[in-house]
Amino acid sequence: MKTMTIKAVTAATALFGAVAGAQAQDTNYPQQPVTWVIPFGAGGGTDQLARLLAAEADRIFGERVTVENHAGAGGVAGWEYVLDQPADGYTIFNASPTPIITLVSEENPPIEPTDISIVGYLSSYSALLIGGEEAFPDWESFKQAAEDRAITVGGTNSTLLGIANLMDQAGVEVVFVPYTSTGEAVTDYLGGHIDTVATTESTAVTIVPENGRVIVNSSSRPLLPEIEEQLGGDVVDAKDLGFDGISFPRWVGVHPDTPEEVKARVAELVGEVAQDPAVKEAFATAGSPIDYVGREEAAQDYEGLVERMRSAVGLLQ
Amino acid sequence: MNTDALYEALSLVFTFKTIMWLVIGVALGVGLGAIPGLTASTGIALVLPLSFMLDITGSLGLLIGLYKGAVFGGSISAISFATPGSPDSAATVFDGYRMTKEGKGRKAILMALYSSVTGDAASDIVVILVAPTIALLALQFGPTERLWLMVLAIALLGALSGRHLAKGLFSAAIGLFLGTIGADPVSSVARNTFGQDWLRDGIHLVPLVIGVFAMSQMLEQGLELLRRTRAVREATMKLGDLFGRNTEGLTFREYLSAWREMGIGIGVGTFVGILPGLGATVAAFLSFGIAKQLFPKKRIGEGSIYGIAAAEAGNNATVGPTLVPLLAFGIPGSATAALIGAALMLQGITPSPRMFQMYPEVIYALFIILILGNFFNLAIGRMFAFFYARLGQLPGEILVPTIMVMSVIGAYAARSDPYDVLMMLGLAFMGFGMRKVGMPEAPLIITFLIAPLLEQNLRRALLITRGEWSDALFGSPVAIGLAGAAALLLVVTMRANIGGRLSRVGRQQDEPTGG
Amino acid sequence: MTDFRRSNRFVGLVLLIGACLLFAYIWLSPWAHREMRDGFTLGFFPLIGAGAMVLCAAVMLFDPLRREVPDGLAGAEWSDAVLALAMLAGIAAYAVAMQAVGFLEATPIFTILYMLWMGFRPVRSAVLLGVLIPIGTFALFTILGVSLPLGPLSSLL
Repeated sequence: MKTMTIKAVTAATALFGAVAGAQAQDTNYPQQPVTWVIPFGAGGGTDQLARLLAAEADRIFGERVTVENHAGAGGVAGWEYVLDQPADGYTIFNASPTPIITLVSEENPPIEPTDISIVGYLSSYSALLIGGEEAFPDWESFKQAAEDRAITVGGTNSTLLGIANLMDQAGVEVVFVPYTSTGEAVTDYLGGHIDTVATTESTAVTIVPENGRVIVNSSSRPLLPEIEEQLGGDVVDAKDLGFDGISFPRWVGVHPDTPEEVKARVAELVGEVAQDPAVKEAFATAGSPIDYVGREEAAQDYEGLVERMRSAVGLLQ
Repeated sequence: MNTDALYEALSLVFTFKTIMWLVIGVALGVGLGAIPGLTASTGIALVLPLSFMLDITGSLGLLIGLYKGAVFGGSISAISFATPGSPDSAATVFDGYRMTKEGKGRKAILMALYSSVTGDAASDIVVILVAPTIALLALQFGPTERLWLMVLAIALLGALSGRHLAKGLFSAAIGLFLGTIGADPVSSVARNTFGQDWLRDGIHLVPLVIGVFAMSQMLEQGLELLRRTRAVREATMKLGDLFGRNTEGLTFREYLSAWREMGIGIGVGTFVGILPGLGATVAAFLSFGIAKQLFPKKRIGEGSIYGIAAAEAGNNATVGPTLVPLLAFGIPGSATAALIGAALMLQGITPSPRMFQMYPEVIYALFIILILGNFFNLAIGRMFAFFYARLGQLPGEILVPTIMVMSVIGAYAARSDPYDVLMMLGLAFMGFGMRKVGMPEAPLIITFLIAPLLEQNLRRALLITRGEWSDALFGSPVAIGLAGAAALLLVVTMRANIGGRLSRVGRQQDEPTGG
Repeated sequence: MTDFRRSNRFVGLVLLIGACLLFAYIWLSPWAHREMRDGFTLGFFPLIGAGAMVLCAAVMLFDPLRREVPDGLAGAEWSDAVLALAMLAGIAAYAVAMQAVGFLEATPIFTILYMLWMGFRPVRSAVLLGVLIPIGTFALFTILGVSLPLGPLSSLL
């Protein structure tokens, strides 16, 4: 929640800026506390990371950076909240793929996934398909098995989406079994109720190598070397197979109408925060190492990401 | 047993700092738990950044203490103000608040405390002794088996329906309906949202429980205050001298006499805790329902310590076991376990099956803290119980508006979603109406929690078996066994209830809300 | 109110009409018949819920307890519902105000008004308590690390 004073100041600056020209305000960003909006409640993955990040961001921004949770509507409520705020760069939106998935699954979404200006990706995760060592020694054997019988793939919404995108391009038919939490999906995999499970890197390292191996990484971004090593090395990814993979970014964006200079400054500051050693260390220990992608590259990737999600989501409905 | 590691763990735990953080954790937990809307997982999320700065045992002490305290804490306000501090103590309202109205609030809180600690300690011992074995047993429970477990829970509805079965089942139907609002579990397409985007995430349990239990009670009490009937003045007077010196405590004999109910709570809570995705609320209602079904003579739900014993032992018995999947497989079984897992990761320890070999001293320290936490919970819980009891002496004119404010913040604080507050108020009016027409709330909460799980598991089972209903339903010996148990339970319930109901038709009950 | 209008049968009738409307609303919504990849329609489970409500309400019209008057309705007046709604409306207004202008600004007004409405006297104590309770609550939540909507007054504390 913004305070009334801040609101008044914002309104005054906006008004003043409009009259006096935006120049002075832009170069001086930030001049007031910054709100870091999370579209989920306290305690989730994005929330934890945001709090670790905000703890260091004050120093780099030179202003207070406060995390605000605006949960609801599958992550879209927080997004709409950001769009309702003035386009001045003082409200920064930090989300996971969840709100994008919500929007592309909707027939009449209230906003479009492109209603945001991406300023960078903090980190990304991939959906890894994990199966038994003996049953699926490699991708080819998995493909073969899927032709012979219906292979079940368990996972949460987002990880299944990554696998669905890959299977779609590979022309492999599998049965997607959706779970509300990773815990349930992995338990069912360990109990032998489903053949394979789609998980993120951080969950995969708890399963591999004792209880399975990575059949394929559905993303086209290579895994971080230390994670690949923990997963037994030489993990096949979508690019190796010649497909367009999805990697799921923890992305940061601002209101699309924000003046260009402010966007650039926000991107610069977010980049600095993401590359700060303290933030890097905190993210790494939290199991989601920073894998920063700058503004141009991220914005370009984002467009493709939305399109691939849009086509993959049809397979899961 | 690795004695070196055990010795190291002991020396890690029994330091001033670790004990201090454990005490702070329990105190914070009981305090947070007693405030509506602030549950164990919210509390842990709030202190997570702090735990980053502590060493491993301090951080575990803080988090586990907070968890234990919060699960008990909810019952204090459930008993004193009919306002469950967190959803898992909603089942405690039925007997607890009625006892408060009868002037036995102190007895009720003590029963809740002792059964919570008993349930918690017993399940911790189970976890320490046989964690890997039960974890393996839990792996047998796939979608098919879990589906039947849900059916078993639904079959208990008869017991929770009160004397008018049609009303009880109507309440269950409302719960089922409310549970379907949100995203379809298979396709995640929005359904039943009445065209409202904000309903896409479905109705959250915290505003539901606060609305149906706390706020609707406050409406009723507010009305009574406005009407100034004689009955109210008596009740307020009793509320006033409730915790004076002359009120009844709990004798050791009474505590012991509830061993069966606590046993049910421990059994149900331990098992429910190990299975991912169920949680303490389900455990509390299941234990309460089973106890009510098994011991009809104890008048559970009508102001009996035995109902409190079952519900409170049940919810606290999930605390240790939720950590079992995390320790055995590195898989968090609940939001709270995930946060404790996150805290371990922040300390550089990735929860995985390898933890037992790589960090045995951490595992032992965790076990010691689990056990030790119960003693602190007992001591701090008692202090808080009497602190809250003093607050309970305030007259209704002060209490009602204050609890209204707390309910609003509670509904809001859980997710910071302003719609949750409006939803809570709407549900409060529904709860008020249900109370007026004598419709019990328990079946609503049960189906609201269970029916979506039943649906998810049924549809998963059908996806796995490619739409073969017979395989999806009876694919394993465990499933067939559970199906048989559910059928048996249903027959027994029907016979007992219909028989009992007919003979009781003429008998008056002072307030049928308790089920 | 007549006795019939307090009886279980009348309650059942009202619930039956409501449940039928709900069922019809879902049945007539186009989304309800959209089939998902596992063969279930989106409306299948919601319709089970609404259908169960219809069935239970219908049973209430004819079961052995149909003539009985529930305890809660025995002395009830329509004005109870109106008063309860008025109370809820006040709380809703407070909730909106709290988010707009801040917890410390809105809450004392709410607590003082409601204490006086509930009949707490003398007025002076109501005002004192009505101010102290929100400050105490605010302090408690701040210590616990829960962020409440802030307003200009919070900087004074």
